[in-house]
Amino acid sequence: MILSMFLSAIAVMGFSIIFNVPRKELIFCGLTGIAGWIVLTLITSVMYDGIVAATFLASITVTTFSRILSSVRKMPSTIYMIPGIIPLVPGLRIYFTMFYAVSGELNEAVQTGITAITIAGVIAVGLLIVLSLPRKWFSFGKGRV
Amino acid sequence: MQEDNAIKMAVLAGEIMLASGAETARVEDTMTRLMESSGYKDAESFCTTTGIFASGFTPDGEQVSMIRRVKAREGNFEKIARVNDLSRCIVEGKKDVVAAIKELEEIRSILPYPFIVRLLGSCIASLCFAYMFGGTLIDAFASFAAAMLMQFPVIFLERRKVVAVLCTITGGVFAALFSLVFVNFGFGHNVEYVVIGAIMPLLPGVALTNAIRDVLDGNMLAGSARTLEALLTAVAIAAGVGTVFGLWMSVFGGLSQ
Repeated sequence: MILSMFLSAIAVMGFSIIFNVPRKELIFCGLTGIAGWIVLTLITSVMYDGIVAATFLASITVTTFSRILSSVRKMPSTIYMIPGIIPLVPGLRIYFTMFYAVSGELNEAVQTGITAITIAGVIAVGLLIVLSLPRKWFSFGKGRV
Repeated sequence: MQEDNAIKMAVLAGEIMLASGAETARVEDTMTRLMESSGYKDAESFCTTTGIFASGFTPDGEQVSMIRRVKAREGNFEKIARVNDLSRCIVEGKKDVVAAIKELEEIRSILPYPFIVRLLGSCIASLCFAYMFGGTLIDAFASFAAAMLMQFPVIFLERRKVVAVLCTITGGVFAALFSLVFVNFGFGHNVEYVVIGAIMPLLPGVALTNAIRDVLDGNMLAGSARTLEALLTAVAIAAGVGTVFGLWMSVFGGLSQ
């Protein structure tokens, strides 16, 4: 658990390097990643089959974190949000959808595929909800971000 | 003369932001603010994922407009952050137009992290993801190696300006191929975790997040274009991996012994 938290931070920071995030902000990207991952793993370990709900809440957490950081650090929120969202992407399920489709097990393919699309959808909805909240709810400093 | 430069400054700022992966609303907002801060009336800007339009009336009442086609596409958040800072300075009146254009040119030529750092960054991300998703330690290292080897053909094609989709398909093909070879030679246990780790760097993270933001802001044109871009990339990865898996299964009768 601790190890996977640590790894999620490193993974997110690795991604931030691909996106050329300024050096000083890398650590904050890592923190955003950890926040999302903690929520995801906590809820999935408590709730059986709770991956959709967990991803939804994790997506909300990541976006909220990014918006707070963006106002504190005076940086566009995208910088934290895009790397932070990556660990939530349903890679495993998309993979299995493709795997089942290729091996001709269409029932499983459809089943996993729909779960994958649902997860992608709730990530989007989570982002959407937090992004549509007014800016001043997140601002602790002054000035436009 | 000053007024003519203001629209150039705004378009240049917009171009840098759009090419670096900023969302449409931010680009439009920045451009309009920059033009208004130089005394433009009815300053308007419109931006899609591939181009920028700006127009307005200079303080002398002359109408000016500019169009810029944006082709370059890279994720470079440092540039977005720098332009964002600069635009705040300009709006607050701390910098004049000439100095701003000079600094924008400087920002445009900011180099990304060195190639080797980015390569290692993406490979380490692959390693961590393979392990986080439930692979073993050996899977994680196999994923690291597959991700690294997969990058070379992709970069080879990218340097030759091959269409982006083809680069992504190639990435998927090689990621799957190397993963299968590794696992079958005993380097890695579960092919699924190795592949997933290896394809993570290809995922359309910027396109997807920006698609959501654009649609939310009511920029339907840019939003749907970016959604399409994200979907296309995802399908391309799946197609690449799927083709190799399908071929491998029909030749060897299974994914791993």
